[in-house]
Amino acid sequence: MDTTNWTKLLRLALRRDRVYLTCWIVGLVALGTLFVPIFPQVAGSEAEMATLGEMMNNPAMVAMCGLRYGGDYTMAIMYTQMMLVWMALAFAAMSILLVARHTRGDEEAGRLEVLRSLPVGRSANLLAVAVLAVIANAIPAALIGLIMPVFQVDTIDLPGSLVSGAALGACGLVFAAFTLIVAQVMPSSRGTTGVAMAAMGVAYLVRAYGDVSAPNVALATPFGLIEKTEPFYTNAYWPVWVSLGAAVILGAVGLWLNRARDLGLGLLPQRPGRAHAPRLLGGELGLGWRLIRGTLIAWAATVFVVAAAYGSVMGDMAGFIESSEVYQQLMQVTPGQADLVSPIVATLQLIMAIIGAVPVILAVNRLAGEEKKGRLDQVYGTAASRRRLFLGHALLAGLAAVVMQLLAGLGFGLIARSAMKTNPVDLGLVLRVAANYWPALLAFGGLALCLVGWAKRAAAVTWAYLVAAFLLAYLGGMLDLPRWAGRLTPFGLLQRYPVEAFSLWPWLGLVVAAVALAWAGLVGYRRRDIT
Amino acid sequence: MPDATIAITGLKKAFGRVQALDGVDLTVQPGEIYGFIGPNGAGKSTTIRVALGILKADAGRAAIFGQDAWRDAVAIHHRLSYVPGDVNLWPNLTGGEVIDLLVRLKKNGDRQYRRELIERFEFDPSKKCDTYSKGNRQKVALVAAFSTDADLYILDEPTSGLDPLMELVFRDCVRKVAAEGKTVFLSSHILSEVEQLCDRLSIIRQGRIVDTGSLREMQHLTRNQVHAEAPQPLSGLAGLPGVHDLEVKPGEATFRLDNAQTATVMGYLAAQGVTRVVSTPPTLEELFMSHYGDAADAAGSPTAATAAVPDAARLATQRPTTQG
Ligand SMILES: Nc1ncnc2c1ncn2[C@@H]1O[C@H](COP(=O)(O)OP(=O)(O)O)[C@@H](O)[C@H]1O
Ligand SMILES: [Mg+2]
Repeated sequence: MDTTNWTKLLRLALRRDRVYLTCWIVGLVALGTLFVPIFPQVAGSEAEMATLGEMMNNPAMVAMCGLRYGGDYTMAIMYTQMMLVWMALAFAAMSILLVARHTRGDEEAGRLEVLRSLPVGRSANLLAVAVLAVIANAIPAALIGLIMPVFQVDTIDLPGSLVSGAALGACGLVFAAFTLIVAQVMPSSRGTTGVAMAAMGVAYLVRAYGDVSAPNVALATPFGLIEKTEPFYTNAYWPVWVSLGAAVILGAVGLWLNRARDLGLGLLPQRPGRAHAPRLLGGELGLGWRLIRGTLIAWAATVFVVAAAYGSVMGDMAGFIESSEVYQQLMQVTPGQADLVSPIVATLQLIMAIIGAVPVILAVNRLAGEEKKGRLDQVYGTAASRRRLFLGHALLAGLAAVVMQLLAGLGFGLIARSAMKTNPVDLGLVLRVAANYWPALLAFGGLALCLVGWAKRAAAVTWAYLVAAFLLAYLGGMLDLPRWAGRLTPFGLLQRYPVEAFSLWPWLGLVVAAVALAWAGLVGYRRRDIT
Repeated sequence: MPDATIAITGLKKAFGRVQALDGVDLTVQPGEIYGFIGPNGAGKSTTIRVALGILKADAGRAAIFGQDAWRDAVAIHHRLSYVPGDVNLWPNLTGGEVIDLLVRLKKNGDRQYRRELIERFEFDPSKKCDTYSKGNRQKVALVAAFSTDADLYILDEPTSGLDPLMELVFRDCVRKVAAEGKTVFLSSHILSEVEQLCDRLSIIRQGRIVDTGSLREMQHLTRNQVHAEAPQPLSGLAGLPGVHDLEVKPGEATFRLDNAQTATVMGYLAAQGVTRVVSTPPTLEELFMSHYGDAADAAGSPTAATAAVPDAARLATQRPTTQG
């Protein structure tokens, strides 16, 4: 295997990626450590921790987050249960994107061809990428292990933190090495990223199933494996060694496959796609749908799963809330209130509605994104009209809002009904709560449409506003903010149904405002340059 | 007289502080193959995008088929086909899907001819667009444009990335629609392409049209290259009007001649007992360089360019045939 000059390629990659990698590393470390000081505020007393431990042992929470292990439910174990698998997902995503970018990404951009013409070994790039992945995983892994104990949170000690970090880095490396193989096999760069990411998603779901009902199955996935390190409890290192061993073997296979591969081609031939467009792909609306189809489906699934997870905790929730003052504040429940379910439904559906607003905004902003990528020139060179393309996206965004709210209501309501043994929540009520928030999603879509028409570079404004809405909704109760502050967002303008009586005027008002914003956006869109 | 197919007057367009178009005038008559040449950044694409109603003019007027390019864009576009200068495709769609989509957005495609074009361009429509090279992306746009029926074809540097064989196929396509009486507007920075296809042309530089006319009309603007051989010395040429860049060797002379002075110079040559005269008309390359070769003079008076242009011109305009 010829790896001549691979160190030079590594240095080049490090130089090229200095900003990219720094962002990832800072992001991963921040995600992995900054919640540590916040956790003690969620639950304080031992009794509260015990209740939380009960709640987190609920199958839906185990499926979504991870295993609840160990004897007493400590702060450290709660932190690990909630964070380890999700952090591992982030490490895996970073590794996949990094490897795909430096293998097939560089090949497709023609950068590797230039390098290959120099005295560089056939396997030099792959080796450099492998070492790059080791660096990119080791640094955040070590930093997380060292920084977590710094906050002096009870039970979060150095040995447990170190094994947590090591587990994350090892898991990332498994996916990096796996992607090295995928990059040899798949016919394109997009295919490489897609297959590796899909494998990551499948591994997560298999682990979810396994953790709930078949522990050995979970162990076969990288995520289930590293859960067995049981940080802050047994602090076992064997899953780390097994992961690293697997990574070495996968990486070696990748290097071996790479020897015989042509530059720019995968071992699998490109599977031919459709030579003709399906009937649906025609006209402005068909184009719009095709552009955002994947995004909407992925978000619809996400919304449903999260709603179902929220629904599943409803059974334990009422009891838990009664005992937790902080949660009472978070959920804006008045102590002694007879109906504990209504405020929870209102708050959880509000969170769901905020999540549901994301795909609505994404659907709208895709229109500006297409323009930025220069793909609308050819579209507007045909008889496509700006009005129809704009309104098509607006319509799809509005429908997305309906679907997201419907799924949020159904996912939550159906699962909650079966999880609550006494006084199950009424599905119709949940759906009405979801419908109550629907105009808020429309309003965010309308704002985004208005910006596409008048200030296409200001798309970030919509996102900032949504984040603000989330913070106000989620933390507003804890912070004792004045009533008017809550009214600064579309969600706050609506009544907190079913805690408060439904009121038609703010509901209709938001619908009208959304339509007006969309219309204003259309006026701007029809009179500006498409560049 | 019917409406001009394209009528552009006094068109101005600025991007921030960059004045991309600074008063462009252009008229294309029905049935013409019209060339639009200029170096990169001259404003060709901007002119076209204003004419398509994708960009809004700051001042001036652009009309196609007698209709306003901005206001009636959709109606106009039912009758034209466009190949953009930068073809950016959706990575997750196949080439065939994009062709169908673009054709359906116009609603008058010819499926039979689509198949024929795909064959002639040796194009595989079942691959995802992210695997296509620049030339293949160009083919997507070309097949989509030529497989719909249109009265006007607007082609913005359509052959970039095509290999020479595919350029021939492209030229056939243009000649075919031209033979049907359709109008073709072809922008290019490659001169031989325009030279081979176009009836008339405009030259744009820094957002202004610096010259317009048929190839023949434009040749009077520059000088023929003359090579003469005679038994008697030809050094007297140096004193004659209209002779430039003279090189005299024993028995022969080479120079560039203003067409207006042809009679005088030929008289002198005859008197010297000339045995052989070769006069070569300027290629479009030279014509082009007489506008752009000397940046200071080019905009004002094309004929004022006096530098030893031809060699530089040939070097500078060697065709970049294939890239990718
Ligand atoms: N969207 C834009 N934003 C800013 N400047 C632009 C834009 N489009 C074109 N320009 C500028 O306008 C000038 C003309 O560009 P263009 O029409 O693309 O030239 P050509 O097609 O002749 O190469 C160039 O200086 C270019 O940089
Ligand atoms: Mg251009």
